[in-house]
Amino acid sequence: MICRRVMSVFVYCILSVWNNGIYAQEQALGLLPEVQKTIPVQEGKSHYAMCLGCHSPGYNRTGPKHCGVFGRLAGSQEGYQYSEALITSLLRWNRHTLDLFLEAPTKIVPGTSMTFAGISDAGVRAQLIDYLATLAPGHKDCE
Amino acid sequence: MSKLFSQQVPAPSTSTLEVPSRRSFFRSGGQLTLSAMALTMLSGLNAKVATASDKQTMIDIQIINTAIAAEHEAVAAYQLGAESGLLSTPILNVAVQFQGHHKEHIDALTKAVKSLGAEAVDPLAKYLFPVEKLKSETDVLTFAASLERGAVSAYAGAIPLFEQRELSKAAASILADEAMHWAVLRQALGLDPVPGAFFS
Repeated sequence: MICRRVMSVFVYCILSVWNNGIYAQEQALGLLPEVQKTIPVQEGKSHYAMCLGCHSPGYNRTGPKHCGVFGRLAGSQEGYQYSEALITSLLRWNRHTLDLFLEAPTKIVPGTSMTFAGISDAGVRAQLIDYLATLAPGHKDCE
Repeated sequence: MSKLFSQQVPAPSTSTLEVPSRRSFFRSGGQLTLSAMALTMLSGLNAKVATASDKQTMIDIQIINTAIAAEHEAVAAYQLGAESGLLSTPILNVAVQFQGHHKEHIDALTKAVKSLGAEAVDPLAKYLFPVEKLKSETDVLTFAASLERGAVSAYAGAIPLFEQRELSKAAASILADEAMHWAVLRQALGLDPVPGAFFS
């Protein structure tokens, strides 16, 4: 009896870890559009105004475009000339890496062209990342 | 999809070195003030470079060149607006004036980079803008306002990173100019020109 309970708890834990890993991978690869669309992103889109001096969702500017950024390897957006520092950073953009980078770009990737002190407010970063997560190809802001 | 907009960037204006008449100075709203201030702020840089570490100097150069790249893009964006045929004469005059400010920013920032022993980035041969979305004067003003708003944040984010305080002061002077552009454009759009007390 005890063995069965221990086994069931053990199996539950294994499956939970496994599923969380898959979820994290899918999220990193931008494969969860249904989930992302349910996130309220108005605040994040509002914060995105601070990015518009250099970035745009749909086209490369002084900074690279943001459509499809989730799951993308840093420094890999076609048609944009990145700093060597970002290309060699080997970062892949997901919620965690974006949060670290947006908090202090030049500390996480010394030598990046994104010479911006960073966003210290974790809540603002989270909302901004919520919006970035919605910017999959086909999003109206990507047109 | 955004269309490709090819932009020939005109030669930088040198008119800022001319001494205007008192009347024309007031009529122009003191346009010389920014460049004169910025250049004065930047004039003492050479002496201070010797005390800055090479690594920090490289960071300062990187920051300024990113700013120059954005300023070149702003010049191209205003050129697009000016040539769109969508702007009424008073708005067109404002757009050309703001474009002139961005050219002055480039001049001042280029001098700063050179004083640090480096070269400034050149403008791109082509810039991408959402041309197909610009169908009215309001569209052009909204687009320009979004760029100016973003520029305020870009300078606000760059200022704390400078090693040399003279560069921070010069960047703050440019930030103030970008903020005024944003406010004027919002006013022209019928929006509250200063919609808050703080901006980051």
